[in-house]
Amino acid sequence: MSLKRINKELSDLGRDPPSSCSAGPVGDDLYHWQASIMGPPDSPYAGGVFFLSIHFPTDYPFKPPKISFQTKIYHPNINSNGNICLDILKDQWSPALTISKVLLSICSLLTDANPDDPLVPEIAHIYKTDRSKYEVTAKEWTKKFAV
Amino acid sequence: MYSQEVSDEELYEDDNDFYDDDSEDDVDDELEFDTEDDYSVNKLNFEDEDDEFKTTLPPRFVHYCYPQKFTRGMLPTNRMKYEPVDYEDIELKLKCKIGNLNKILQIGTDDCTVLLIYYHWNDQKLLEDYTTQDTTEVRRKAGLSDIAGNLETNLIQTAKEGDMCLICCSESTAENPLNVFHLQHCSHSYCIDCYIACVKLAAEQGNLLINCPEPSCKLKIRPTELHQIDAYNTRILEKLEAEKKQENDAIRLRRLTEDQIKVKYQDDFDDSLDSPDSDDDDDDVQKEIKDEDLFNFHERSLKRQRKEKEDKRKKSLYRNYWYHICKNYIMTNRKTFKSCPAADCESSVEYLGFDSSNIVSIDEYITTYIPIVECTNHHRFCYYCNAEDHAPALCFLVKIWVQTCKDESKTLSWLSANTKDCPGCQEPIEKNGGCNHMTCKSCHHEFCWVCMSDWSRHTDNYNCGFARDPRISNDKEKQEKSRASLTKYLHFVQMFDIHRVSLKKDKEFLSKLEMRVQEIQQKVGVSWIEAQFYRECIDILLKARVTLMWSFAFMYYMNPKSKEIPAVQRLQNILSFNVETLSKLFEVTASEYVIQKKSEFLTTASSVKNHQFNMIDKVMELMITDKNLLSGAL
Repeated sequence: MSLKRINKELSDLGRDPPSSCSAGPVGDDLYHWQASIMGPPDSPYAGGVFFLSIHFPTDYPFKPPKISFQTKIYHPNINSNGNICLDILKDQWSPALTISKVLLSICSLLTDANPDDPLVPEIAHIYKTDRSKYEVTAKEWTKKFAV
Repeated sequence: MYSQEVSDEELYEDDNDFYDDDSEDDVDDELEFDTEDDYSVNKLNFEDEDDEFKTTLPPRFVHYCYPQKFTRGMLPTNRMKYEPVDYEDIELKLKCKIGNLNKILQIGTDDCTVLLIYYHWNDQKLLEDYTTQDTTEVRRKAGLSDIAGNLETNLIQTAKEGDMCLICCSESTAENPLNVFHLQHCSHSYCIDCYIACVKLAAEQGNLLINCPEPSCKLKIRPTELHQIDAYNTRILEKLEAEKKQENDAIRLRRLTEDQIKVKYQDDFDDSLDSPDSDDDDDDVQKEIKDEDLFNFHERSLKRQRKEKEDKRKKSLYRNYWYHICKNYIMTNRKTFKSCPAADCESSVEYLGFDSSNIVSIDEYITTYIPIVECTNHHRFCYYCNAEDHAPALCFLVKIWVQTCKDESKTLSWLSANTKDCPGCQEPIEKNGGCNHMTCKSCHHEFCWVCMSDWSRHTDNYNCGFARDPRISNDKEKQEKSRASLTKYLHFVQMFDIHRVSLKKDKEFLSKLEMRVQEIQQKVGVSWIEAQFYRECIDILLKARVTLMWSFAFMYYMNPKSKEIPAVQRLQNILSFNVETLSKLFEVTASEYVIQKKSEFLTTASSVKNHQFNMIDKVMELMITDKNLLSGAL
């Protein structure tokens, strides 16, 4: 069942790709994908390309896919291992969500971080107290790791 | 310990069920009923529901932590009131809340259920919000649509050809039409199998309110909607079962070709290769049941009932839904509900305040009383500290006693045998070599192991010829005192342990006896009720053993100056004597004579019961009257 659904998502992504994101299987294994996100233009990540790895659990879509950043990124909700703190990837997951919707959510997380529920408290603190410093560092990291 | 007569009767009724095998028939009946109403689910459910949500509750059975309002010496006991409840009782109570709310709001029991869950069953707050705030907003927050009222249509439909479920991506075809389901007030349809999977998943994660799978839709599944999914689910499960059975039957009837026989033989052969493993598994299962220390038939029947309920829950999404609601209700109302600490027991106790207006909170009560309660499955435990029955020892005594026993009993006895206390700081010291020149590690005092005096007196001479130093006689007194307290402690620990072991042995022995008597009873044809007495006696014996055991912990902490020590000791001795008599009676009576010796058992047991109560009663009086009674613990 999960294969059918993953195949469907893959063909949908090919037919109608969302702007600024792309995704597809890494090799023959349909349960392991790679995705890329272009840094949103109105964010300090603009100009960068961020790679993510996606692992589908066998009981997908009833369990959320495991998504993590492979490109280093300076963000209050993404830690150094690339783990993402996003509600729809955890308890707010719904089987009706798709990879393309999730990727779009991650895009909007890049534009609007959620410092009140941080994964990296230090970055969240800077984000809240010294926004310009945060933006400078984020831009630096983007230039260094994602361009 | 202080159960009421009512509950005792209930115990036997429960057991009756077990032996009459009524319970099994009941289950069958209900299953049949389920299959019958399959295709007219909606209608039947509504009729059910009118009955389901009653607006009045059956009267409470108030139980007390103590059987009497006053002790023998006419002191008020200020007992705590409680009621043992199980999940069914909670369900009834909550459904009554729903019924009552619906009576006022007239929005259908479905909406009321969702609202109450959202408001954590706080009906007052809900009513206030619903009547004073924007109703639509309140409903929306809880996950309800703007249209009030129960469900009256069938929501399971067959999808049009070419429609696709967005979750599993299966397409509806002419040969294989898809059954889809959507909530009454939203149009987000998904195939019913996916819906079932979503509901199961949500329940697994402990979500009481289950969302429509569409992320942008905030509606929650309502009970009757769940009912519809559930009915479909049961139908499918039964269909699958029937198909499987048919298939098996067909295979059995079919004549096998040579190849098939070969395959079958091969399979069997493979099976036999695997069989050592499977045999092991069987052994494990049997061992598990044996090891599980299921003391008596009562426990075993409880286990069976639990299993039956669990199976029912597995089959029914709706039952599972209510199970989680009740579980959550108990967990979130910890102030009034205590779950029974016994393994796998799902019963709990509801706190109903005190018999006397003098006592406001249980915390102030706890320094003089022991609130031992009994759950619906007759497990006795302390309402305050959640430990097993520990009267007459107070909660805090139990805590320090258990801690002391855990930490020290073995260490202390070893210390007593192998160490001497340092004359400088009274630390116990073990001699770790042959030399008698000792240096204390903690205070660096140097002394002689033989005469215990300062080493400075032994210059250049390892042969100690000194008599014990008179200067340390004072210290010696202290030392002896500490040794004495150690001896006292060891004595009580030993007594406590003796009774703990006896309790365990009695349990083992009596569970075997119970089985034998059970057989005999069936052979001879004695009625169930008539043979009940020995069960009662066993119960009394074990209760008394617990009391006796804890009385030693209590004694240990009693103020050594208290004038009441001999009195308590006397009661302890009498109780001990009676307990041993009853225990002996069980042991010497051949199982075939147990039923004949009914009167002897009953008299001995009632005497045990009496003395046990005397013990508890006396301790209770002492605790009320003597403030310094437990100075040994402070």
